[in-house]
Amino acid sequence: MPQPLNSKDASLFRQVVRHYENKQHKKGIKTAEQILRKNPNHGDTLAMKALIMSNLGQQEEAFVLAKEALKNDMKSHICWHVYGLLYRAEKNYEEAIKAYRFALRIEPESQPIQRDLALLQMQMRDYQGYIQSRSSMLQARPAFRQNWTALAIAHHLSGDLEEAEKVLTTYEETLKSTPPVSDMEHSEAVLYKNAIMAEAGKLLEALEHLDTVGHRITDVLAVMEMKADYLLRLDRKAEAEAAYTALLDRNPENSMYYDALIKAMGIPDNDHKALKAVYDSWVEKNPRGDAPRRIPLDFLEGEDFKQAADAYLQRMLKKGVPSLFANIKSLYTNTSKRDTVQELVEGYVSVPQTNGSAEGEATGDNTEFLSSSHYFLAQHYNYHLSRDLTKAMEHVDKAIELSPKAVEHQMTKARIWKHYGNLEKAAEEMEKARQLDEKDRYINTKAAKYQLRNNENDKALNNMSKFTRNESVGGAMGDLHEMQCVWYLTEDGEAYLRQKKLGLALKRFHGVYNIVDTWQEDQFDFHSFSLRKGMIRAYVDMVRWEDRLRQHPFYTRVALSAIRAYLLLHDQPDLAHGPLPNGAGGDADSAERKKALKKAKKEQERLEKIEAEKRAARKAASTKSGDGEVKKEDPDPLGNKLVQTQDPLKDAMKFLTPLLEFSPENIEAQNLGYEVYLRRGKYALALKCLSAAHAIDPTNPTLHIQLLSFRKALDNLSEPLPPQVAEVVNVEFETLLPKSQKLEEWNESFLSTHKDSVPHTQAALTCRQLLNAESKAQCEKDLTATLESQVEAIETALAGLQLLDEWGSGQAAKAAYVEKAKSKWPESSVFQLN
Amino acid sequence: MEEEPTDGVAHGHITSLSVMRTHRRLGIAERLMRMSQRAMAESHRAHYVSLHVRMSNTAALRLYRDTLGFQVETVESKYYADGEDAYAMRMDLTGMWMDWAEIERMDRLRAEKDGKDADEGEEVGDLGTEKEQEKMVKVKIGRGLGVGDLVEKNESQVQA
Repeated sequence: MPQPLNSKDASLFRQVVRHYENKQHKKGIKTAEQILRKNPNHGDTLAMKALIMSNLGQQEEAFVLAKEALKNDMKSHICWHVYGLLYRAEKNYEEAIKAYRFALRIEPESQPIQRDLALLQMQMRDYQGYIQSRSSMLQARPAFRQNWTALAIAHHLSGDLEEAEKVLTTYEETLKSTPPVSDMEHSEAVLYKNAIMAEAGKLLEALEHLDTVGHRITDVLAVMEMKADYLLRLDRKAEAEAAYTALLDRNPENSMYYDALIKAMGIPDNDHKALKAVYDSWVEKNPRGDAPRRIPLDFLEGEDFKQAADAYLQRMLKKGVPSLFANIKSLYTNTSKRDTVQELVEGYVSVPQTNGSAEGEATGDNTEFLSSSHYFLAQHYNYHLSRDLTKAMEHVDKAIELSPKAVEHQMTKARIWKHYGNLEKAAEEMEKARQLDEKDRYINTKAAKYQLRNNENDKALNNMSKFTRNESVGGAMGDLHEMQCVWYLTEDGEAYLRQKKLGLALKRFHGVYNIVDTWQEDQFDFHSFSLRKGMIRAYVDMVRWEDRLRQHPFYTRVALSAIRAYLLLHDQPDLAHGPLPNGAGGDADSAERKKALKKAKKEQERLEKIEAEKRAARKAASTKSGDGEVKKEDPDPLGNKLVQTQDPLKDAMKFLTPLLEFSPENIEAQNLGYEVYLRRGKYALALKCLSAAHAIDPTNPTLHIQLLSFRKALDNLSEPLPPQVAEVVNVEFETLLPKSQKLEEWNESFLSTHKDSVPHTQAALTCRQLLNAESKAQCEKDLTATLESQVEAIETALAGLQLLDEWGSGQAAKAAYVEKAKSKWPESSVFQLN
Repeated sequence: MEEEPTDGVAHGHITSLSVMRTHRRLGIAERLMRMSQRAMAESHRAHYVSLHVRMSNTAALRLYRDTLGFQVETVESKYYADGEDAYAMRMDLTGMWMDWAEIERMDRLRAEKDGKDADEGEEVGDLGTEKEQEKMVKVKIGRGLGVGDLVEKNESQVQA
């Protein structure tokens, strides 16, 4: 019920609100307490106090108080509004929306409540609710352009393009005169309307609209691009040609403009002469440009290609452009072009040197040209489509000899070592490259990355710390989180995963997960900000980007790794205490296991102590500087809490669910999804992953193993599946691996079909030793024999070694494999017995 | 664009510009600068664009001063955290502005003409009106070629 205050207290209450709005939180609380002394049960005051406490970070106390406020005054919109705001601060948006709705029912005219509700609806993509909210906001204040634009956006995003356009037009018609060109909000809104028309497929209308209003719009480039696009799609070729010519005059390096121009000109793809003439004309207009010189290499063939490539390569090599190879390598999918490039550049370095005889001017330039050419060849022979690592090393050494200070050359040397399978040497060489230019962030980053690939987490962090703000909370690692350095956290976590340090690995993966969450949260402010600024085209783009956020490879990669870590933790729970020597986990009661566990726990304690000391040191340092805002230290920097979870598979779902939703085409996601669901006893879902993987690639090696694993799981159920599930599962699985199928036959046929592929052979051998334990020794020999095949990637060979672990093979079998691998890749360091 | 310019003059500021090491010397930085300057001038009517550059960064200095035409305003001592000084540079962008007054004048003329076309019978064929009509035809051609041609100012003057 309403609780009126006397006039003095009512004025105090207004003061509380004012203090809150001015962020004078301490004063606010003091004043609120003053009211409460006389009116201890006053709901609105209790609510305001709760709100201020929440802003001071006292979330729990705030909630207790807000509930008390509601109990005292269920009919107060302030109490409900505050309750919603508290949920909002906790990111529990659904509850917040409910609370706002209650508040709004009590006080339907309140603009602030309506506004807060609308923002949340947008954040939650509740478009129907958002349309409703925006409609009533528009009714309340129709003179405000923002309210019209916002309603249009609501309709647009909900898919109703007609209504969106209508709303914008209705507002335009209320204008007595055209706003001045300087009115950016108007300019953007007009262009937004035009984009909606085009999105609705009304190209001709959009074009005519643009012809009437386009000249007053300040985003000149956007108008030109939209117009050119409409013309081309309407097949108005001559005008489209003029439009793209105008665009190229502005930016002759945009390859999409060239593509469109050529389409507009109607030149057939195979008329190379005419195509080349077009590009040549742009080279003439912009002699310093790259695009019109480079693009013809994509379509030219034979002698024409050779000539053009020769000119292009020589020009760039003389300038010493370090990106030349990066810009050329895409041609290598065409083997004849690849060979031509090789022949040309080999020619440049084999010309007899004129040094000594010819004196003077050319000598200096020639060194640059030669060193660039050797550098190019080093990258060429290091590239997977033209790999010859011995030659690559020779050329890089020559390049370094000619230009000993070039960071890029030294960097390439490290890359060659990486491809040799020697991560240690690669990291060392990259560190040398870093030392050539200690102020360059790029090479610093590379050096750290190579150290991580070599599992040197501490060294890598030390390098990174040369570019981080190390006084921030959590030190360099804290700053890398703060700066959302996703690549580093991912690589760091994967390095820990390789070392089976699952706590730290999970810590990093969750770190990236939280960053992605932050990106999603970050859009909240833009729902109001972008409207205020009138930048709505960019806003709509952002909203659509956010909707696809977890499709991003950053997320996919980290999710896959995190799920792997959780699976490993589920299968080997002892790893919760830290890495264990291989084999020690096998026998549950062995003395060896107990000893290893004890050692691991001790190590864990030691690390915790070091971390605590570091934190104490930082704390001491920061109190000395003592500036305002205090950020909380991470209570679990080593991820020990994460790794000591009761239910790793349930935790894995946090990563898996968005992964399967947003990247269902990723076969690794389906593979891992199967493993998680199988272990959770969710047979229908496990089968769904198998079917999805089968639809992507029916010959996928992992899928092959999983089909057998599923058959075995169904045969060995501890209790039968519920009849409905059983029926669905059996029918569906019958199409993937029929029950009547003899499994040995099925496996051997897979093997003979794919006998030339090592990953497939590995999978078939895995199945064979599963089907027949006695065949294991022979399988081990056959697996080692796969190393004799010619064209194998070192990663595949390494996967074979891991298989022996999974099979539980003995040291002798592993040693034989390692020996063979080392003799095939003598420079490598990755084949180790553990 | 600076949100709240301290000098009260609308202008852009380059906070940071970098090209990945493996893709340098292709003119990417120059292209990015030219494109952003033009957007600042056309879309935001920036009077100038400013930036800071390390005194030791000769490559960047060459780009800004020699290629793009920036001028050194002052030297800011110890601008960078490691104690190095910075050149504070800026470049005028008003030469790239759209001629808003002209656009609005043309629109007014067109609106007047439309009004006259609407109620026929009043003074037709006057000499002055014909001149206006001639001008209006010009605008349409300009627009047909693309907005850029209509508003383009002499860029070479800026590049010098």
